[in-house]
Amino acid sequence: MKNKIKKTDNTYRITDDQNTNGTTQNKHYDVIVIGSGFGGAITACRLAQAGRSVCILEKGKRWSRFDFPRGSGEVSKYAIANENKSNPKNGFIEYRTFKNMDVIQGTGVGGGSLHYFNVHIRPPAFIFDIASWPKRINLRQLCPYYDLASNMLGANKITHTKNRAVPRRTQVFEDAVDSLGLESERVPICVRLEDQISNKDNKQGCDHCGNCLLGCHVHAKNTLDLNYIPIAEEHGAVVLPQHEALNITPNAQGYVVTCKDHSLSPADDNDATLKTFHGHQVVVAAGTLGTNELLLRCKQRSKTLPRISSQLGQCFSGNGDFLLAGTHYQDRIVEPGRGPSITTGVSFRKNKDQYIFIEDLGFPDPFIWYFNNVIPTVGRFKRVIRQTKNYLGEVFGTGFNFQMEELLEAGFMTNFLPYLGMGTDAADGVLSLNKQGDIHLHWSVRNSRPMFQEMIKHMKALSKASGGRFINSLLWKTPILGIPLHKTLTAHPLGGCAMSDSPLTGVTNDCGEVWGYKGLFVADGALMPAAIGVNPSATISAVAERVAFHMVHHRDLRANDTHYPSNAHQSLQADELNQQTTETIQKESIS
Amino acid sequence: MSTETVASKTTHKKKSTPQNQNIHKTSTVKKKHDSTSSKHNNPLVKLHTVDQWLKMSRAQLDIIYKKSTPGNIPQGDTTGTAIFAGRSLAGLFARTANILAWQGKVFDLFSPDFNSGVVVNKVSPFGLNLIVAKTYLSKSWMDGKDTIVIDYSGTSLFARKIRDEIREVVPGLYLGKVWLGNMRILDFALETHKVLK
Repeated sequence: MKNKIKKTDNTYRITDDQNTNGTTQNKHYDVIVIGSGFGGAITACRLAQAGRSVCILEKGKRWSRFDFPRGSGEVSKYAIANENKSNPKNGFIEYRTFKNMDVIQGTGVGGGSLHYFNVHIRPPAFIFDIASWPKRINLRQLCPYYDLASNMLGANKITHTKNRAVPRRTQVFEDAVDSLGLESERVPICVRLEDQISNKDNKQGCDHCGNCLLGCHVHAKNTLDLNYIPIAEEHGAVVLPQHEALNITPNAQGYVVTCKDHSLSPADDNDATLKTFHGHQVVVAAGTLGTNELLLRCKQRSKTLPRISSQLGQCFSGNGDFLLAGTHYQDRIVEPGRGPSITTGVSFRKNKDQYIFIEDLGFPDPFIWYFNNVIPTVGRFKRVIRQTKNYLGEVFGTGFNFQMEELLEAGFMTNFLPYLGMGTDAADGVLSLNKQGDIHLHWSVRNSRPMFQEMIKHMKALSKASGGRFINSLLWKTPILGIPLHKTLTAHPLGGCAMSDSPLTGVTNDCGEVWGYKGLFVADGALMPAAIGVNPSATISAVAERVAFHMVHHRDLRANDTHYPSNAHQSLQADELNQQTTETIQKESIS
Repeated sequence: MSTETVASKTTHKKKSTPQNQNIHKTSTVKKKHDSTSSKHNNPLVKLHTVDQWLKMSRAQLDIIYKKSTPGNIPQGDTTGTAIFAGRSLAGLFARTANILAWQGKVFDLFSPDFNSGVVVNKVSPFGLNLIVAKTYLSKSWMDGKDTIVIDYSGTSLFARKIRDEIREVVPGLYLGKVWLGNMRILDFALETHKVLK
């Protein structure tokens, strides 16, 4: 147990060392990063590359590709994070329900990337013209950061490959857009679409299993635990899974983060599971709900960060997400469970303030099986009776022929094209703490209703033009009697710690530093002051890259910057260097 | 005996100079680590609880106070318990005061040193933040040694004659003394919250 003190550019660091039992606790780091999703993984990686000692505290577990659930029983037990406080949270998908909106978010090393639908798309430039964005943030400014993240995450548009055709779902969606007289666009997805065979190792391409939501068992999906996080670890970052941050307290050295170690069995003395970590700087990137929950507790409950702007929790947006709607075709096979879960989309812009983007959406197999069974189809009961009779008849030689294929009928989902709609909602939700100290969302559809109605109108038009029947979201309108519920489900919670030009209008400055608390940063979706209108992971990544670059260099990244961050693993860099050296020696020997 | 052992394990904030800043940071961290990690294994921690203090006489509490060091000034919200030492039904008085009048203090320290700041008292059944004071490190009126002072003289008309002093007896638990003018009137306990939901 000996701490080595190193002096880096602007700060001191105490290199991490470990106890004899291998655990790491009560250590001082240059930076403590809370959360390992897009915000946390990216900032941790870049700061570690810059020589900072970094500790990542992640509430969820670390998942290997063999751990991801596939069977229905496994999905129910290991995919959804259990809210039951007495039970350790097993899954990597958190489903939170609030009065008018449900929220899905990720937990685990890699955060939302473990279950997201891979889309890495930039919004149109005018999205950043909305008044709530800080003046220094615009698409042109963010372009180098988008490029950097896109390169690291391997974003590509789907095409026919040697082994795989474009999924039927993509074709059906594009035909529907065509029939409306519009043009669809394939969206960049962070998926390795073809097998990559090299001298060193073979990497399997996407096998179109459609289970992106449940984690990728072939690692074709470029999740953060395969790129940013290992690079951070190569540069000395320490990742502590199952460590849930509970409080942040400033002190003369920076901040003290108190967290709960969920890997320890709940002892008699609850204090035994509490650990403290000291950081010169802290980056909060616990997902929009997690970040807001933690900072609200620090501001309102423990009062250790009482001067955070009163804007904390304001400007929440569900990114205008509209899920569970789609088109049902009488004869056309869609098979939404095949292929990467999102592949293509179409945009609509009504006026300068309203932007809508609709994409095809795939569901994983266990969900398809479930819906196919619970949604009744015409004659299912009769067919089961008939085939039971046929089976018994064949067994006892009465001459009936058993036809198994009639039992394995094409269910409702076979011909269903699900949509994911996103749009510029009013971003007027408010996050606060309830009496138990848990996050609570106050959101009303009222100010966003015109956008949602316009979105539904476009979805209906797509259905009609392509000869299908529009099925509305069961959260928006009940399937029977059509009672309006006007509830939505979002997979893209944003805001609450908005970037701003002043503490009166937001919680952080445009570099993610919390107003009034030097060295305390936010770096995830909570920073977004308004809806993005498309899948936000690319924008969150670009903003996180910018936060990290500013933390290290205190300026913006330029196109041919001498400090351009590297996206290569150290081992690969070493290989390349060796190869170059060998080639040089060979050339010299030849000459 | 126990208080000596505990007091030796609590940390004492030292002023740093630019020249020794790095060393100071390291040593403070090391000390904090030691104090925090030792807490869970230290059976003496359990001897110092608010319930124990409620049963003690003022003289006993004074001994504990004198053998303690200031420790770190608390941060954020704390829960307070008034101690009417030496009186019968001290526990009942404390609970009544806690419900009806004083419930604790909220500390907001100034960066970058975090060795001074402002304090507000949580008063009334609704926990309203009232009666503002300054807090800083100074010498105790009791023994002339370092202590954390909560000074109302320049900030509150209502309580300008009141002076509080606190020392951290075990990590997160402070014993306080209250003066009205030159007269000792009350003891109190303050507990910080590691985790507040």
